[in-house]
Amino acid sequence: MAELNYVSGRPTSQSSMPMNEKSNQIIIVGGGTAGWMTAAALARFLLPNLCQVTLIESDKIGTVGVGEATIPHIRDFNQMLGLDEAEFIQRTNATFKLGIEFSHWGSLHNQYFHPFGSHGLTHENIAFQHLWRKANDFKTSPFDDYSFSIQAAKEHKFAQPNNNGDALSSNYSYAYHLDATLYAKLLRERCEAQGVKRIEGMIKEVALDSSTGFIKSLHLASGEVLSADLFIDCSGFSGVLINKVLREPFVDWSHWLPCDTALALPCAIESPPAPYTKAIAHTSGWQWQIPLQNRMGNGHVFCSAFSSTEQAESTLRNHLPGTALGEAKTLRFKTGMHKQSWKKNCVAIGLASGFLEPLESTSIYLIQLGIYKLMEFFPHKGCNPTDTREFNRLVSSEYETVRDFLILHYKANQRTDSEFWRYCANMPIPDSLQAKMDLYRDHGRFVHYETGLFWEPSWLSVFHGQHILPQALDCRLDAVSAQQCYQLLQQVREHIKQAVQALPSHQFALAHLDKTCQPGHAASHLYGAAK
Amino acid sequence: MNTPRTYAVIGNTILAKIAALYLSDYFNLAPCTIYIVPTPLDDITPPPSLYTVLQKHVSTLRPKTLRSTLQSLACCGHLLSTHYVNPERDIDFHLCFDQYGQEGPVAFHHLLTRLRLQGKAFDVDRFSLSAHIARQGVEQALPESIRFGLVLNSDRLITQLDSAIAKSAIRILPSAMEQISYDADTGEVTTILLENGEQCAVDLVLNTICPVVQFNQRRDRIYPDKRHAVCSEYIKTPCAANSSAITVTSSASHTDIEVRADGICQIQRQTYQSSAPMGGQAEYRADSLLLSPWQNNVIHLGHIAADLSLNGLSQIDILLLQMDALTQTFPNSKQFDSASTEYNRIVQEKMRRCMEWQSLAHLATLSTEAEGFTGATLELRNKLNVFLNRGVVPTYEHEILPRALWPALLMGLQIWPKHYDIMAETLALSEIESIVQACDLRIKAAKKAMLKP
Repeated sequence: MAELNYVSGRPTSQSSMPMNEKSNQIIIVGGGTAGWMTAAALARFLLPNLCQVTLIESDKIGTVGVGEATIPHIRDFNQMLGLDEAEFIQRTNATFKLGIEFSHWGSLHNQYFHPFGSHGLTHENIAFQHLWRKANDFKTSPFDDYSFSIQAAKEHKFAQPNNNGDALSSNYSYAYHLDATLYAKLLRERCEAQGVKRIEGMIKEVALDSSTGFIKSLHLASGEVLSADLFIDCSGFSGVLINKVLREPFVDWSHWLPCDTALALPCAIESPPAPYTKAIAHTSGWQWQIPLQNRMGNGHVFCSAFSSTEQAESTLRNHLPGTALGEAKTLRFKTGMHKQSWKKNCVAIGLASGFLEPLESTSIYLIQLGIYKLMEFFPHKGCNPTDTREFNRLVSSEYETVRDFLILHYKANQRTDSEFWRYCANMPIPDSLQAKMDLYRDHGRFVHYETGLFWEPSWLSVFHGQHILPQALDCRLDAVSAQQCYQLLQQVREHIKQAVQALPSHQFALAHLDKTCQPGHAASHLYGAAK
Repeated sequence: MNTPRTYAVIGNTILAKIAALYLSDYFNLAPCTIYIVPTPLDDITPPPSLYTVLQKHVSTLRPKTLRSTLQSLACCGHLLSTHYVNPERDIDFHLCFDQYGQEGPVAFHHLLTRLRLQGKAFDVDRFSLSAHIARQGVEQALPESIRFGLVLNSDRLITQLDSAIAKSAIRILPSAMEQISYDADTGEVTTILLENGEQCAVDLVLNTICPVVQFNQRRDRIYPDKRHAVCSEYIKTPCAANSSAITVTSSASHTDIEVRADGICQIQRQTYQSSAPMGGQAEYRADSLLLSPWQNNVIHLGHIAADLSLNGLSQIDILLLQMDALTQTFPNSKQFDSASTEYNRIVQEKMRRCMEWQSLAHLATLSTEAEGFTGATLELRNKLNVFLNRGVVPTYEHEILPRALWPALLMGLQIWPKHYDIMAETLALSEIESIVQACDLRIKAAKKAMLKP
C-alpha cells in the first residue's frame, strides 16, 4: 500500500499545491472500434485544451470489427458523445435489438430468449417466476409469453420504451445491431473534426524508459518517432504494447470457456431484419446471426479440440439464412484477460485488455467500461499506482461478472448429443457461479450485486431457459392459490398481447427514424451498468 | 414438508421484538409460526441505543407495522445529521443524508477541491441544506423532502412493539428458555425446552441474546480493524433542548456519542485500545464480526454477530441491515446451505462497510503511521488512498453510505484530495466560483423558506 499523505487540514497556498498537468500527449494504438471510441470520448471531453490525441492505425492491419450486436449501454455512450440516434442508425446500417434468442442451448430443440427487459409482475412482493411455477398445474403458457420485449421481438415489432407506460409494457430497454466498421468510420470523422490527429503507419519499435519501464516513444516504419505521456493500446488481440512490449501476464479462462475459434461469414439478408440476435448452439459451439439493414452478420464460434475448422465452416454454411457474401474469415482467440489492463503508462482497452466471446454481445460494452474508467482515473501528472490499481480492480471485477454469466450458458446444458456439450456440462466452474446456481435452484433467489453487468432479469432468463428451476417455491405462496396465480398470469399475458399488437413493426420503425428516435428511458436498472 | 414453517426468535428484548415483527410482516398472510422465546438474560441485556439514522431503511422498511411504529408512534426526535467534532483536527461538520452541493457534469466536490487548491477556504457544511437546519436545531415539522433519522423513546417503543405483536400471529412463550436440543447428524437446533416443561420444535432460530453461545459451535470471528472500542460508559443527564443531530466527538483515546431527545441527553463513551483482541474473551469486545452469523439453522443477529463501535449508526440500524439481508436470502426450503452462504456473504460485506464508515471519525484523529490506521480494512485504506490521490471514492458491494456522500464525509473530516477530476479543468475558475456561490445562495434561500413561521 502506498504511503498516505494527508493534505493539511487547512488550505495551502497555490504555489505549494500540485496542479493538474495540461497538454497531456496521448497516443492511441489501433483504429478499430476500441481505438475510435476511445478517441471520440477523449475528443469530446478533453480536446482542445487539456490534451493532444494521436491515433496510429494501418490499413494493412485489418480490424476485427467486433460487437456488431450490442447491449443497451451503447446508447449512453452515443448520448455522451452527442451522436444523433437517427444519423447513427443510418450511417451504421443499424437495426434495433430487443434481446437474444437462444436455440438448442439447454437441450436440443430448446429455445428461449434473453430480453432487455423483465418477465411478468410481482404479486405481494413474490417474484413472478414463483407465481408462474405455482400456476403450472393449469398448463400455463411458456415463460417467455410473459415478457413484453420478447413478444415484441418475436412479432418483429419495435418502439422505444414509453416513460409514461404501464409497468408491463414500458419496463424494457433496447440496443442495436450495427456495422462496427462503419461505426468506427463515423467516429473517426467526428474525432478528426475535433482535432484528433490520425497517423497511418506501422509500429516498428517501442522505446522504454530504462529506469521506470514506462513507454517513452513509438518508432514507426516511416522513421517517425512519437512520444507521449499516456499510451492507449487498442491494437486488439495482439496487444502490441500491453502484451508484446510490457509483457503483462494473461489470465487464461479457456478451461471455463473452451471455445477458441470464430469463423465470420456475412450473407445476404432475404427478409426484413428481426429486432433480435440469434445464438444457435451447434455440436461444438454456436452460431450468431445479426441482422443489419443491408446484410446478415453470421459467425460460428467453436472449440478446436472438438471440431476442425473445415467441419465448423461446413456447419456455418449449412445454416446460413441467405447467400454467402465472400469467404469466411478465421479468428483464433484465447478467453481471458490481462492481469492488469493498465500497466505503467499504458492502458489496454477492448480486445487488447481481454477477450470474452460475443455470446452476450458484451465486446463494445467492455470497451465502454475501459473508457469510462480511464476518464474517471485520467492521469493528471504521471500515472499514479493508486489510480492504476483501482482501475485494474474495477475492470477485472467487471470482466469476471460477465465471465460467470457466459459460463452459465455452457454449464447449464442437458445435451448428450456431442462430446463438447458433455464436457461443458461436467466441467468445473468458478465458486462464484456455483453459489449463484445453488441459491437459485434451492430457493429461487438471486445472488445480489450492485455493480457489474447482468442483474436478476438476465439471470432469470438464462436459468429458466436452460432448465435451472427453483426446487422450492416462495414460502409465502401458501397464502395464494394456484388458481389465483393462474388468473394473474392470464391477465399479464393478455395485457402484453394487446400492447404488442399496438406497436409498429420493426421495419416501420427503421423507415421512420424521425418518429422512432425519441428520447426514451434506458431501464439500465434491469441490466446493471458501468457508470 | 421441506418448507420451514416455525421460527423462534430468542430473547424478549427490543431487538428480538423488531426481528419478530419483521418476520411477521414478511410472511403477511402466509401460514407460519413465530415464537418469541424469553430467556433469563433478557432483563440484564443492555438496551440498544435508541435511534436509527439509516433513513432509507426506515422509510422503505418493508414491514408496515414496524415502519409506523418507529416513524410515528415511538419517535421522540428527528436526526438530521451526525455531527462530527474533533477540535484537535479542526473537525466540526454535519454528515447529512441529502444531496451534497449540486449536481452537474463535474462532481461538486471536485469543484471545491479545485478552488481549495487555489487557497480558498470552505466550511463544508455550507453546501448541505440539512446541515444548515441541523445546526439551527429546528423544532418544527420537517418537509418530506428532507431525509432524517429518528430518536426513539424506549417506553413508547416497547409499548408499540408489544401492541403490534399482540395484533400479529407472533406468540411470546410463557416461560423462559431452559435448554436446546440439536440434531446429532446435522447439528441443527430441533427443539427448545422451556422452564415450564413446554417444548417447541423449530425450523429456523434467530438469536438476539449474546450469551446464548452454545448455538455458536464455530465461534470464528474476524477482526478487520485492529483498533477496537470497549464501550465503557453510558451517561444520562437532563438537557434543555432537543437536538436534530447525533454529536460524535472524537479524540485519539475515545469517542463520545451524544443523543438528545425528550429532555434527556445520553452520552455513550467508547474508549479505544489499539491492539488486536485475539484472546478467548474476544467475542465480547467491540469491533469484531462473526465470520458466519448464519450457522446450520441459527442466525445470530445484532451485536452477537457484529460488535461494532457505532459512531453514528445504532444497533437498531445494524439489525435492520441484517433483516434486510435475510429477506434477500430467505430460505424457501430447509436446504439452508446456499441461503446461509449468501446471507453470510452479504452481512459480512454490509458490516464491513458499516465499520469502514464508523472507523473514519477515529482514523481521522490518527497519524498515517499509527497502528490503528495501518490496521484499517483494505477497502477503507483503498478508499482513503484513492480519494487523497484524486478525489474519487472507490465503492464496494453493499455500501451503506451513498457514494455521493463519501466525499462530503471525507472533506468534513479534513481529508482533502491532492487532485481533482480533469473535467474540472474544462471550467474557468470564475465559472466554478459562480456555481459554488449559486449553490450556497440556493441552499440559504431554501433554508429561509423552510424555516418561515
